[in-house]
Amino acid sequence: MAIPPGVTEQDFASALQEFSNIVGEEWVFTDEQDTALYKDVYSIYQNSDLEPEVSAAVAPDSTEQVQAIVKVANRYMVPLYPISTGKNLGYGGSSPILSGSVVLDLKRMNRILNVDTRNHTMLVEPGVSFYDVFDHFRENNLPMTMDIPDPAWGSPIGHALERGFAHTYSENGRDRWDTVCGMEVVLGNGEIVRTGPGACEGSQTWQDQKWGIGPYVDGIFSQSNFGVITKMGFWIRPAHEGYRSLVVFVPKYEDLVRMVDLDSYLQNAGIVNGMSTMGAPMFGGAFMFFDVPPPTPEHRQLLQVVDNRRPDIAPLQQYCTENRIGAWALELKWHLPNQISAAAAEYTRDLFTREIPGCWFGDEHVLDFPLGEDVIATLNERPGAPERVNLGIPSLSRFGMGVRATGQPSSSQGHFWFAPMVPKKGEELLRYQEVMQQAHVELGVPFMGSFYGNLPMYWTKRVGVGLANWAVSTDPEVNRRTREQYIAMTQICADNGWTEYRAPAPVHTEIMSIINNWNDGSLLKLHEALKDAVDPNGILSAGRYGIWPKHMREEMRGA
Amino acid sequence: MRRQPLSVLWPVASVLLIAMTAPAAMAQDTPPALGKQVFDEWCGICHGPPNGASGGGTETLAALFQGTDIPAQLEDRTDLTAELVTTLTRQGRNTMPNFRKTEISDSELEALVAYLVADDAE
Repeated sequence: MAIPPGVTEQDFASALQEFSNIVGEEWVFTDEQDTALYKDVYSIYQNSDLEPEVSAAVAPDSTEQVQAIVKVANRYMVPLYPISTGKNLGYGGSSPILSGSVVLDLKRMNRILNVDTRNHTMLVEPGVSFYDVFDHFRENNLPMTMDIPDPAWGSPIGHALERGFAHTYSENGRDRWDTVCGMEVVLGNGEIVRTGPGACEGSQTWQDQKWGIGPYVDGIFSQSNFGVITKMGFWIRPAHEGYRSLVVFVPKYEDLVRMVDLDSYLQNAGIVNGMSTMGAPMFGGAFMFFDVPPPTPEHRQLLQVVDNRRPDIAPLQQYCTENRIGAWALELKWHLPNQISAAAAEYTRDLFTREIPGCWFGDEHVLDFPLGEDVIATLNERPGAPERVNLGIPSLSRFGMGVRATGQPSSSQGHFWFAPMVPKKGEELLRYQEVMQQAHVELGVPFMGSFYGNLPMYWTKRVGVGLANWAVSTDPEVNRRTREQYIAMTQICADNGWTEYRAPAPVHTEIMSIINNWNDGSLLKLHEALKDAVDPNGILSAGRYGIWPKHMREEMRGA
Repeated sequence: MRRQPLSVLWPVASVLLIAMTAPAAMAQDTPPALGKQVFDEWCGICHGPPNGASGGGTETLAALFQGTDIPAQLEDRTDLTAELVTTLTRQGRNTMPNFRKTEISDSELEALVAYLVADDAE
C-alpha cells in the first residue's frame, strides 16, 4: 500500500482507522484493486513510474462526515483529493496530483436537496450527476431544465468547480460557474462555511442572490484548492416551450469579421439566447456540424496546405462562389417560445441580409415542446440536426470522439485536451489559425486536416475556445512527447495573449507558471496566500492548478 | 434514480417547491432485475441502441466485430463471461472508463453479470 508523503506508517494507519470510524469500514478503500479504480484512466503517465498512486479512498455520506475526515487529515497531515463524480476525463479524472494522496470520494453524497420551480433554482450535493438532475425533473413532473455538458455523467458541482461549459443558454447557462448561487464548504482547516445570504441562519434567499453584505468569496473555491464543497446552489431554467435554429452562410472570406461581430451584437443585446456554432465550409471543416457535404476532390485539391501556409484564397473563393459554398457558416439558436423566436429570427435575417451582401440562409429548425418520441429520435441524427445537448437532454455523443467507429479503425486510450481562449474578433481568429497551424507543424503534433478548417467553440459570449486534442497512448515515450508539446503550445499561445480556460492535471504546475507572468506572478502569490490562510496544513488538492501547500512549494514548483 | 424512456418531457407541474432527498442506493431487487437497472444506469448510455446520444460503445463494437456474427449491443450477446464483464467494468478499455465501487458496488456488479452473462457462458 502507498503511504502519503511525509506521513509515518503508524500515523497513516491511525488516520485510516479514524476514517473507518467516521464512514464505516466498507467506505474506506485500501486494497490495491480498489485504490487502482481511482487512477486516471486517460493518464498520460500510464505505464510509467510518474503515475500518481492512490494510498486510499474514503467515501463520506454527509457534510458532517466530510468535516470529521478533514479534521483527522489535518491531525495526521494526510493529503486529501476530493472528487465529486470523478468524471473529469481528459483533464485528470479521479486521480490526485500528489502521489500518495487519499481520494475523498463524494459520489455517495448524491441528494438533490431542493428544487424551486418558481424562482428556478436548485440545491444539490456533489455526487449528483446531470443524468440524475434530468431524471429528477422528469420523475417529479418538474417543468425545469438546466444546461447540460456532453458528457452528462459528470456532476453540476464538479463541472462548476472545474469551470466547465455547457451548450444552451447564453445568460446564466452555458458558463456553469456563472450559474452558481450559494455553497456550503468545509474549509481545509475543517471549518464549515455557507456563502452569500447562506451565512444567516434560516436564510430565505441562499439560492436566489449571490452576494450581499461582505466580500464575495465563492470564486476562491473554484478548482478545489481551499475547501470541499458539500452543497451548491444553481440557477436553472423553466423547461423549453420552444426551440429554433437558423444557419447563415456568408459568401466571402473577409465576411468572417462582420459575421462574428453580428453574432456578438445579437448575443450581447439578448436577441439570440442560444449557443452559436461557427464553421468554415470554404476550408472543408463544416460538414461535422452543419448540413453541408464534405469537400469534393476538386475542393480538397484547393485545400492543400503547402509550405505550412493557408491555401490561396483567390482560387478557393472562386470555387466556393461558383458552387455556392459559404466561406463561413453560423448557426444561431433560440430557446424561447416559438412565436417570439420567429420575430427574432426574422430580425436576424434582415440584419444579415443588410449587413453582409450575398449571404444566404440554410436550415431553420423549429421544435415544439414537449417533444414526442418521434422528434427525439431525430435529434443528433445527422450534422445540422438539433442536438440533445442543446436542449438540456443528457448525452454522451460528443464525448464519444475517439472511439473506434467507421472511418476510425483504432481507438485511442483517452483524450488530452488543450483549450486556449481566443478573443471573439474575426481578425484574431484568423491569426489564431495561422499560429496554431505553425505550432502543430513545428512541434510535430499530429492533427487531422488543418487549423484553417476549424473555428473555436463559443460556449461563452466573448471568447472562443480553440480546442486541440492529443490521443493518449500506452507508450510512455509518446505520452512524454505529448506533455512536452502541450507545454510548448501553451507557451506559444501565452506569448500571443491567449491563455487556457482549463487544463489536464499532469500539466497544471507548468501551465499555472506560464500564464502567471504579469507583475512577477502576483496573482499566483495571492492564491498561495489564500491557501496558507484557509488550508494551513495544505491538506486539500495538493498541486491542483499549480497551487501547492507551503511545505511542498519549493520542491514542487521551485518557488 | 432510474432512467425511463422519454415519453413526455416536463409536463407542467403544480408542485411549486420540492424538497426531497433522492435515494443514494438502488432499490434492492432480484439480481437480474437489479442487473438490468445497473445496465440502464451505467452501460446502456454507450452500449444501448445507437441513437445519437450514445458515447459510442455500440458503434465501437460494431466496427470491431464487423464481418463476424457477434452482435454489437451487449444485451444481444450470448458469449459474455463473468470475468470479461467484471474486468471491463473495473478496468475500462480504451476510452471507456472504469467504474468505482461508489458507482457500481460489488453486489451491483454481480447483478450486472447475472443479467448480461448467459447461463451457458458462465
